[in-house]
Amino acid sequence: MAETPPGGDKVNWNSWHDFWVMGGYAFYVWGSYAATLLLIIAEIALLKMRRLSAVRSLRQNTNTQVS
Amino acid sequence: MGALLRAVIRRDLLLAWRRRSDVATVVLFFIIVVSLFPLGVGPEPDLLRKIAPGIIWVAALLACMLSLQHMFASDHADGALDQMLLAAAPLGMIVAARAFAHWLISGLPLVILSPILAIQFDLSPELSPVLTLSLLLGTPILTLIGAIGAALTLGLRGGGMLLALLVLPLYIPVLILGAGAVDAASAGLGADAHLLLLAAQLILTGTFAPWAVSAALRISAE
Amino acid sequence: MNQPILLAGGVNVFKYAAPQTFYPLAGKLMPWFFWTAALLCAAGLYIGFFVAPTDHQQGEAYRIIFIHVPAAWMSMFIYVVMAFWAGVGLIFNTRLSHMMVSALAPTGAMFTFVALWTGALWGKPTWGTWWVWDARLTSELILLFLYFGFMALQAGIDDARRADRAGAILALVGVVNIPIIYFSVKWWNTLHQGASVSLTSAPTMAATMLSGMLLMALAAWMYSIATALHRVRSIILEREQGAEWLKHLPEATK
Repeated sequence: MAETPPGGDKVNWNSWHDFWVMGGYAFYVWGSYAATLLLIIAEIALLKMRRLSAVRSLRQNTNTQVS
Repeated sequence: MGALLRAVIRRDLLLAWRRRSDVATVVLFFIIVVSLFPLGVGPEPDLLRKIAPGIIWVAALLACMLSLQHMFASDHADGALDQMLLAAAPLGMIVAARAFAHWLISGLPLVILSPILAIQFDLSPELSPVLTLSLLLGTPILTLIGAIGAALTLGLRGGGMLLALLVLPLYIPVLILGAGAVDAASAGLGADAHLLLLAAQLILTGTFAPWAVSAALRISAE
Repeated sequence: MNQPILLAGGVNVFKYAAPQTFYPLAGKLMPWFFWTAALLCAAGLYIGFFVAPTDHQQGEAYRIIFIHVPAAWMSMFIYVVMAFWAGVGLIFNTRLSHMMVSALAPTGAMFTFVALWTGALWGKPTWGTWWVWDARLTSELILLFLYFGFMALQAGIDDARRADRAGAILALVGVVNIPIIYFSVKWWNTLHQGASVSLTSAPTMAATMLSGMLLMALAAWMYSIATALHRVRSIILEREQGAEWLKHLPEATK
C-alpha cells in the first residue's frame, strides 16, 4: 500500500521526509525561502503600520477642524 | 565668458590659498591612510607590492570625498552660491570651472604624491607611472561625480556620511579601472585598455556631470 | 492648480496624475495585484518543487534559483522604473510621480537583499564559500548601496519638494551608472580569475525549471506593484495633509 508521494505521482520526492531534507541541502534551501518569507511578512507589516499611523493623523486633523 | 570662468578659478585658488590648512589636511589624510595598510596587513614586501595600487587608489578616493564637503558649503553659507545661480554664464560652465579648481587643489596634489607613496610599497619603477597616470585621469572623475553628491547634500544634517554613502558606489567603476590598470600592467597585459576607458569615462563625466550638479544646486538652494 | 490634459485615444491620461483621483484607484487595484501575486507564487513554487527535476550537478540546492533570480530581476527592474518616474516627475512636475518613486524604493531594496542572501546560501553548498565576488553578486551589492543611498538622502531632507527632486536626480544618476558599474565589475571579475566559476553558470535549464522561474518572476512583479500601490496611498495621506478632499474620505471619520 504505497502512499502517494508529495506532489502526486511526479516522482520528485519519495516521501515528505525527503522533501524536508531536500537532498541534504535543507539548511540552504529552506534558509533561503524562510528568510524571503520573513522579509515579505515584515514588509507587509511595515506597510500596514505606516497606513495606520497615516490614517490616525488624518482622523486627528479632520476632527480638530470640526468647530 | 572666458574671463568669468578664469575669475571663478582664480577666486577658488585664492580662497584655498588663504585656507591652506584645509588643503594640507586632505593631503595628510591621504598619506596617513596609505600608511595604515601596511600596519594592518604586515610589512611583507610581496604582499604590499601587490596591494599597493588598490590601497593608494582607495586612499585617494577617500581623500577626494573628504574634501568635497567643503566644495559648496561655505559659498552656500555666505550667499555666494545664490550669486552663482543668478550669474549670466551658464551654471554648467561655472560648475565645471569650480570642479577644475577643486581638482587642482585636492586632486592634483594626490597625483603628484603618488609616486613617492608607491616607493613605500616598493612598487616597481615601470608600474609607478601607470599608477600616476591612472590617478591623473581618475581624480578629476572623482571630483566631478563627488560634486553631484556635494550639491545634493548641501546643508543637510547627515553631511559627510550621507555624501559618502551616495558617492562611493558611483566611485567603484573608477576604482576598478584605475587600480586595474596597474594590475593589468603588472600582469603583462598592458594598461592601455583600462586607461583608455578611464579617459572615456572622464570625457563622459565631464560632459554630463556639470549638468547634474547644476540641477542639484538649484534644487538644494531653493 | 491647473490640470494639464493629455488625450491618448480619447482618455485623459493626466487625470490620474492627481493624488486625489489616484488614491481611490490605487485602493481598488491593490488587492487584485496582491492576490494575483499569491496565486502565481503558489503555481511557481508547485512547479519548482514538484514538477521540475533535480539538477545533475547541484542537486536540490539549485531550487534556490526560484527565488534568487526573480528577486535579482525585480531589484534591477524596480530601480529602472524608479528612474522612469523620477524623470517624469522632473519633467512634468507631478507630485504623484515623485511619490511613486519613494513608494517603490523599499521594495526594491528588499528584493536586492533577498537576491544577496539567497545568492550567499546558494554559493556555499555549490562553490564552498558564503560570498563569491562574481560580477552579478557584486553588482547586486552595489545596487543595494544605491537603494540605501536614495532612501538615506530622502530621509535626510525635511522639505518634501527638495527631497523629491534631489532623490529624482540621484535615481537618474544611479540608473545611468548601473550599466557602467555592471560592466566594470564584470571586467574586474574576469581579470582576477581567483573565483573562476560564477553563480551565473546556472544549471542547464529544463523547460519546467524555466517556467517555474518565470512564474515566480511574474509573482514578484505583481507583488511589487501591490506594495507600491499600498505604500503610495500612505504617502499621499502623509503628504497631502490639510487638503480638502482628504476630509471626505471614509477613513477620515470613523
